[in-house]
Amino acid sequence: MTAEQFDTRYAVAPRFAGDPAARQRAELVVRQQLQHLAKLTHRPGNIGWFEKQVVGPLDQRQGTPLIGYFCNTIPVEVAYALGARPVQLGCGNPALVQPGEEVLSGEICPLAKSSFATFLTADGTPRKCAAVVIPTSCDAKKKLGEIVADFRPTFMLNLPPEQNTARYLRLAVAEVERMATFLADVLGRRLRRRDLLAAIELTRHRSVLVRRLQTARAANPAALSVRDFFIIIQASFAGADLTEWLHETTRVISEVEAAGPSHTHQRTPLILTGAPIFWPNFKPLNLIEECGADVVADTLCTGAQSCFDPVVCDEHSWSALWRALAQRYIFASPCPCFISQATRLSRILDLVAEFKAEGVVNYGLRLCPLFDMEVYRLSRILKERRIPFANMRTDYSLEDTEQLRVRLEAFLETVGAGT
Amino acid sequence: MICAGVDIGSTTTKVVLLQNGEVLAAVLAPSGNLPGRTATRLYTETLAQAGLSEKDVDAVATTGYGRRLADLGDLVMTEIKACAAGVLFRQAADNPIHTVIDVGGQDTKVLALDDQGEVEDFSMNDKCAAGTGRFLEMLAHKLELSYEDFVAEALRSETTIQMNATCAVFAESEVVGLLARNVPKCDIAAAAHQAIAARISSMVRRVSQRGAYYFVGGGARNAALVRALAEQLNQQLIVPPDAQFIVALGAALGARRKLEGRVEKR
Amino acid sequence: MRVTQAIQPVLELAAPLNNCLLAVLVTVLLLWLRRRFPDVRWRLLAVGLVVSGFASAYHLMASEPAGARWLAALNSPLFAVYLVIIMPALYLPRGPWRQAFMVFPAAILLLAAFAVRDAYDTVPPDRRGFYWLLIRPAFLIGGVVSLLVLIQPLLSLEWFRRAVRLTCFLLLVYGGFALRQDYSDYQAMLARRPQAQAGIMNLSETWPVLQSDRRMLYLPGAPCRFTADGGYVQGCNLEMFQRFMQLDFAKVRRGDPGTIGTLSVLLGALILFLCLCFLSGRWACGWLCPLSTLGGVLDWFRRRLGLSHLKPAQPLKLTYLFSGLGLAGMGLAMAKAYPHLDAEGKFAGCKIPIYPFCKICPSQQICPVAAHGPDNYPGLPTWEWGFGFFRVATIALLAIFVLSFAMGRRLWCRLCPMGMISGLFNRGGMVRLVKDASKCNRCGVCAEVCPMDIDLVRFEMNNNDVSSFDCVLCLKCVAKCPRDGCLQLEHAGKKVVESRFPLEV
Repeated sequence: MTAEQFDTRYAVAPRFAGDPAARQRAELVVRQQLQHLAKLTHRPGNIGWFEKQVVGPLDQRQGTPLIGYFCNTIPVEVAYALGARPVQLGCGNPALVQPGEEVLSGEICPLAKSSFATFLTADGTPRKCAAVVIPTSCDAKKKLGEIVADFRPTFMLNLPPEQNTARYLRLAVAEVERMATFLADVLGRRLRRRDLLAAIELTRHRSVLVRRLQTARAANPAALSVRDFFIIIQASFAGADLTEWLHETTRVISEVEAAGPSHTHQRTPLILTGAPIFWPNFKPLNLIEECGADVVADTLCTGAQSCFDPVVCDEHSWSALWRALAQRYIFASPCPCFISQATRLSRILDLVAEFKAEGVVNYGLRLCPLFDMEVYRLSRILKERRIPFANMRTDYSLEDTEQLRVRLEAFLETVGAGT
Repeated sequence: MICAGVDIGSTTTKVVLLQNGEVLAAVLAPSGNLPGRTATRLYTETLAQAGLSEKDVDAVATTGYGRRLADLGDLVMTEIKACAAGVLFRQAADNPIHTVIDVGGQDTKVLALDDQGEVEDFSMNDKCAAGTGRFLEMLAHKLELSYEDFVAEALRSETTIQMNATCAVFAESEVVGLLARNVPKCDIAAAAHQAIAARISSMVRRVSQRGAYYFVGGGARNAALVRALAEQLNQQLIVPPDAQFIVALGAALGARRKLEGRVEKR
Repeated sequence: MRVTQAIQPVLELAAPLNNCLLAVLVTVLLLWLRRRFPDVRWRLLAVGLVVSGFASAYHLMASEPAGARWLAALNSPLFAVYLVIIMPALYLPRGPWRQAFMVFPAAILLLAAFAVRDAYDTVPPDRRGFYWLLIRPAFLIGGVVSLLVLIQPLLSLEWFRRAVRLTCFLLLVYGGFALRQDYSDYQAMLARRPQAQAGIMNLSETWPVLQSDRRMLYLPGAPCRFTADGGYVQGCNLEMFQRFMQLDFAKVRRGDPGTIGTLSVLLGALILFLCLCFLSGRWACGWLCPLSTLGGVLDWFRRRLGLSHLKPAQPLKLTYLFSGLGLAGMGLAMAKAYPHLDAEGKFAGCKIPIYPFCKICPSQQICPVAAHGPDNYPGLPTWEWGFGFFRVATIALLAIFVLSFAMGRRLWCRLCPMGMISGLFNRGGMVRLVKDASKCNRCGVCAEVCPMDIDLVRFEMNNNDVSSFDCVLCLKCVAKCPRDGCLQLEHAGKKVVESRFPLEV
């Protein structure tokens, strides 16, 4: 079933492609990035566990269905409560952009293209999912939903255009409830209140750990590379058992906290904001760390920001629970897909003040007008407040690495000019 | 105190020797396909010509695209910072520079400088040839002219025709078409210069709108380009006689600054 | 009477600390000084100077009988406790100074224990027995506040508030029969009981513990006088306003000493009350009011059943507000008939109670039962009162009270006239709810948890001050906000508590 959002009269048989060359190139990219990471001097003892989750292949336990989703505006607690595991389908492999491009238009962002490419292979993650949930957070995703509906049962979560609760809370709550009904149907299970509350408690635990890890890291960035930090976070939405993830992450936190605050010269602390950075597209992170700076905090939906806010519910009636989920995931999101960028701006400014960052780097994916157009106001607002700002607009391919390096180095030279 | 700056560009490598504020030597050579080796060789040659050895040099800095390819010295800096340092050194006290345009062989940079001469903002066009010196080289070749003749022709032209192509590759085919319609070569050359100047001036406007304007790099030696750019920006452009060496000079200054800073700390 | 007698000279010397005006003066002074003098030592010096200056003036004035009378009317042990225990507890940051300070509440708690023992010592040997808690009010208030201050670090904000609410409920509802001043006071209470007639609820039959001839303490919120034996304090401020209305102003104009005496006592009570409101805003509604504590039980049932609450739309909110104002206004207007009531208690043929608002207030229906069980139910007003208006209004208000708390969280509080005056001090008083909009992520949890359904805290992004008239300072928004430092409670310009996402699992 497809939630009757797509017209079944015009279903098209999915065409699977198995370009072995593309797959080989994809594996090469992953190996290269792992090699980059192997050069890090200070890695947590159990980073191998996290890498395994993120690199894959997905270890599908018997009896645990998977729900694929995109973005950070989907209340995943519903999937957990139904006994399933939510899996983020975003892909960051530059080698998979081309297979996606061969089927879809080339004029969409590389994230959409490479993520779609994962649908085309027999052992890709989407094939293992019972259903796919996609929010209407951008044009590409809206139409991707229609295409993907022919592959797996798909649900489109309609996001409101503004984060205005007075006007759109009811819509958002209805959408979340509708999604829960759809998932319960697809999985053939009943959603119980206490399971949902237990799932909310689990993700709250995750928020606690991510906050603690971010704070411990900021005191001593050398103790944990931002790349490992991102791997740890992305492992939690790569289909891992969340309880196991919590356990492993607690170990990482004790290691980082034991290292204590740094007494050596600190590298330039930066705030990273912008478009999703999915494994293995760690090019911007590689560059920043190689150029001698540290990302102390981020507003990325694939970084710390994704798990920062907990779902807070005061009352336990169904409507209160839907509202709690909708408000945390949809109305508190700093995503540029909503018309006002105030939430994101506040977050950036607050992070700069809290972590005493010396600059902000915006990462934008080419062909994404949402992030691209926000740069106009973002750069001017940061300039007004005398916060150094650099814009890194690029795609997945590695060919412009050196050009980006020059830009970053020049930016860091201006930031360090004061010292 | 003698300091040296080595600008290892993608097309040419420049070495500047600086002694107490005076330029001892400024030498240029094509980078070839092993820029690192070229740079080292050029550096030693320049020193020899000036009658110095490596021990006499107190500090060396490398910059440019290949700045990490040669292990010459203490400091590695980006060509952006080096360019700003060179411009600050050269600017007249009563006419501070706020916008710097650097048209190189394979990239074009625009820098916005603040009142202290520090880089406030910059933009680089290094992905597309249409806006770099490369574009003009390609079209000169298409018109079967040497680069110098191409520029001379452009200066000669009195009519303005428009070139439509924004892409250097398509521009080539457009040139063929114009030649077939018997458009004189000088007009085509002038139009090519206008096209590139339009792109550059658009880039400039996005970065900075404050004068005075300073034009450096290989492209600054092209009088037709200087004229076209000045027209498009509707501004006077200051072009130093050694426009190609400003970045290397800035690197030398950077090396000196770092050395002075270390001495002060001690 | 040993310990309490021994420290009597100290209490005499420290009497000025009981004065409400000094409390206000010191608080405002601190607010002003914080903005100008960052160094805490200058501030303490200034406060010390002001207090000693005030104390000297006080003692001078107290040496003269008229002055002593006026001063007594403006005193309450509540303010001494506020100055000595509550203010340091609010302002001292965590650290060695705060730990050192904790000696004071511990000592006062110990003193309170001694005070109980001393009170029991006054019981004649042949009458030894259990008389609940015999303790002088100053010691009880000091002891209770000290105990709460001592346990506060052990509790989360939500649990601390529950502890305070429970304590206030016990104090104010059971205070009348379980917390008398001493043995003779207890005996007097027993003596009054046979004369009390349930159903008519004559105020003269109840004698609050804190009543004296010269001083009456009215609280913001609803600590009703109509609890067992009069309750602990004089009652809610509506009773004070009705008393004002009961005065025969013709007599006042004539200069009748008895009426003028009552008026001066009432004025003193009014000043006390306003000082309290100024210092605490509508805090009493959120933490002290026993009616809301009782109503909260109904709310708890609704939550357990998993039912969602009624979210009132603006028209309903305004209806409640104006109904409350209207009823209070009517009650006050009818109280003016008091001097003109004839022998049957009628005015112009209409039987009007002397406390018209109390007659319809649900508190009068509920509190006696809460204190002494269903046998003490006063019953509904009979049909003869106000041609049946009072009976109907009582039923209606009681129904609204129960339904509002059962279905709408604190919807009742929008109607309750007892809280309205203190609500005016939420903006402009010493208590402020502050928001740092740059930290806000617009998640709306503050609006979701608010029992008064206020959304100003959620939507305000330009101003720091998000206090509002309706806010009962329950601090649920501060407790639940997931962004550290976004919401803060400020008292006299000093941050007292701020939102923090607990990092303990």
